[in-house]
Amino acid sequence: MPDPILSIRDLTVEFKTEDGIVRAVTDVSYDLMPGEVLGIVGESGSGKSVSMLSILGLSPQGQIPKGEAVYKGDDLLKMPQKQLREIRGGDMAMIFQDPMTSLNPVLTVGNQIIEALLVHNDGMKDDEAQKRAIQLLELVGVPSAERRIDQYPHEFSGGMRQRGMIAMAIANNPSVLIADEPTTALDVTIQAQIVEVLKAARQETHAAIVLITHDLGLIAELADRVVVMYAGRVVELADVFTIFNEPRHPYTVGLMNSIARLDAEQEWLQPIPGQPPSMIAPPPGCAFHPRCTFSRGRLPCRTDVPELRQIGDSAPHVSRCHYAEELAEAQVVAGAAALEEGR
Amino acid sequence: MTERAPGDDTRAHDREDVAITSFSVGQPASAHGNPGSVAVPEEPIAPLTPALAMGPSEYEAPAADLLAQQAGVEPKARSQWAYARIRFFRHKMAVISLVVLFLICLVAIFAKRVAPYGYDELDLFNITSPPTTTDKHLFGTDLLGRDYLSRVIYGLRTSLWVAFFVAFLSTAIGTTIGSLAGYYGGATDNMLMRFTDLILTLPGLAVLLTAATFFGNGDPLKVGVILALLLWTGIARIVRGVFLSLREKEYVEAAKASGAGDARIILRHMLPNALGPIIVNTTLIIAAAILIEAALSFLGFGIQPPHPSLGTLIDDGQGEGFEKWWLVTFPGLVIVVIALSINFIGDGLRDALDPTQRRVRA
Repeated sequence: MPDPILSIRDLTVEFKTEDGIVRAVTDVSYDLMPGEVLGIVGESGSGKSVSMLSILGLSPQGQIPKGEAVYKGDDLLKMPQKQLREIRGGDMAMIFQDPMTSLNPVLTVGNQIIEALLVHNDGMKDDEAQKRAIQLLELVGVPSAERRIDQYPHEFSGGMRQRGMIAMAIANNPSVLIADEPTTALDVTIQAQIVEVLKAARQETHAAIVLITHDLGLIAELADRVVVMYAGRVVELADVFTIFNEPRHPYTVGLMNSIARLDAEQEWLQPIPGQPPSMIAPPPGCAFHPRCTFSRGRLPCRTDVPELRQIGDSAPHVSRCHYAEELAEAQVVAGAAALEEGR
Repeated sequence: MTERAPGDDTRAHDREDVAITSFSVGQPASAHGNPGSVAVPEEPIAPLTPALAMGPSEYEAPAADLLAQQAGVEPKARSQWAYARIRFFRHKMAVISLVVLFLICLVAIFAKRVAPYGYDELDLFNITSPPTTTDKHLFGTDLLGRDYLSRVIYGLRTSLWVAFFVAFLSTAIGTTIGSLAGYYGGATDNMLMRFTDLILTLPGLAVLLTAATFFGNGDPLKVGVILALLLWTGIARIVRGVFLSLREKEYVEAAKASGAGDARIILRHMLPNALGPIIVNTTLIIAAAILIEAALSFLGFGIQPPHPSLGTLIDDGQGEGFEKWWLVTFPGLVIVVIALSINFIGDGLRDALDPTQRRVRA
């Protein structure tokens, strides 16, 4: 097995608010392999974005994350600002959620791509950068790039802007590309196009992609492995087929059940009952237990925080559930039962 | 870990049992909308998979442009500044004021050619003559027989010079302090803003008079510096406010994520977005500086004779009463015209640069 390109260990991120300390991310550990697409799934507020932003030193309020994020032998969290800045946008680039607000309205799209190039390539000439920017725009499928490079963001549609953002992100051939909900702000047909662009970007740069999303369709389309996060913790981690076919955490099962499927006889979607927990005072024990249909109020769920355990013995598959094995048998029945209940 | 090499294409087939539909892959939308319809599709619709393989040549004429050309609507690319210019020129008073101010500035710049006499040239045959159209003294002469039109023109020159200098310097100081405070926030912000508050609490006129007495010596440059050191606070506060909100913008975060340093983010990404309020307030400072300089000179602490400024001219005339009305009226009128037109221009600029604040839709 190759060495991971990015190795996150026990990452904890806390925010101080007026109501108390919010633990947005708790003891998150995972590895990112070179060239793979790692999907991070979870509800809003599950800490999926914060975990990535904080290792790049981009999270708001300047709080200091604990743990380690080792990139090519260096811990990003202990790195001096200057070195971290060179990595940002160079080796590790980011694609943001909302292309409508992530481009500066007073600079042309080309200017912003050229800037990303010039920041990381000392001595690059302006016309070289211009040429490269046009190439990048063509790569991401922006038509008549020579003309559009001089246009302002407001002259671009949402899909085109997101293409521009992707061009900016891959400008310096990053080895890690962090896509923070890259399709959430776009409509469905454009989403599909952006997925193609992401695939092309990946082929061009051979970058490992961290795909942060709550769109399981996107995960199914792109990801090799999936991290499921709930209330700031990793609750399940496995390759994409295992996650979809044999989920071993009730939350993952709930996510799967809440997707609209074409192949299932299904009249109602089954949402996960309840609300995400308060991050200031998370429930004791397993953070998911108040909403869990499998816990049935069992004591360990309410008192002990479950550990991440290896499930089965074939592929690496970990789950943070006391009764993960039960799910193996119960899943189909429970799914059917829940379906019945929903009716 | 997974044995599969990343990007393995067989995965797509394996995954058909998953059948997720939260987005539909590859719905090639029709590229030929209603012919003759003026509606221009926003997105040049691209066939899905081959889109990336296609060279730019196949893309030369996207559907949007074609449709637009057919309909006779040529989409014209305009920058934000172009839109601002268009909006500014809709503001009639602002445009008139701009022309007036431009002419006044021309007169001031070319004072030596425009003014019929030097500012200290005496005409001893015509001491304190009232304005005449027949005679050679259009604005009359003062107590020493100096041509008043020339003195007003030279005074205008001094006053405008001081005003623009003050506006430039105080904008520079205010923008620097405000942007640093707004960008860094926290302790930096606190320190800089408390300093700003301190300057604001100073009794302006008293400090001005004292400073002018000790350091001013009637030198326009020094008077300008003193004024600027007191007038930058408003801009600093405004710029800080704008920067505080800009700091949270996603494009600033995106710039940070692409590795831009603090200086680059402040100068290239945030400052241009804050330019609207800065420009508007600079124009207001010009007007304020003209008035304050006039007041200062009127009190005898600003520009010293024989150098004329609009304030000193009024000061000279104020003791002479109504009979020699022209001594106060002409410089006063000029001050009013300048201050008014600058305020109108500021108004127009505000509407042009921040259309969301507009009260009346054109």
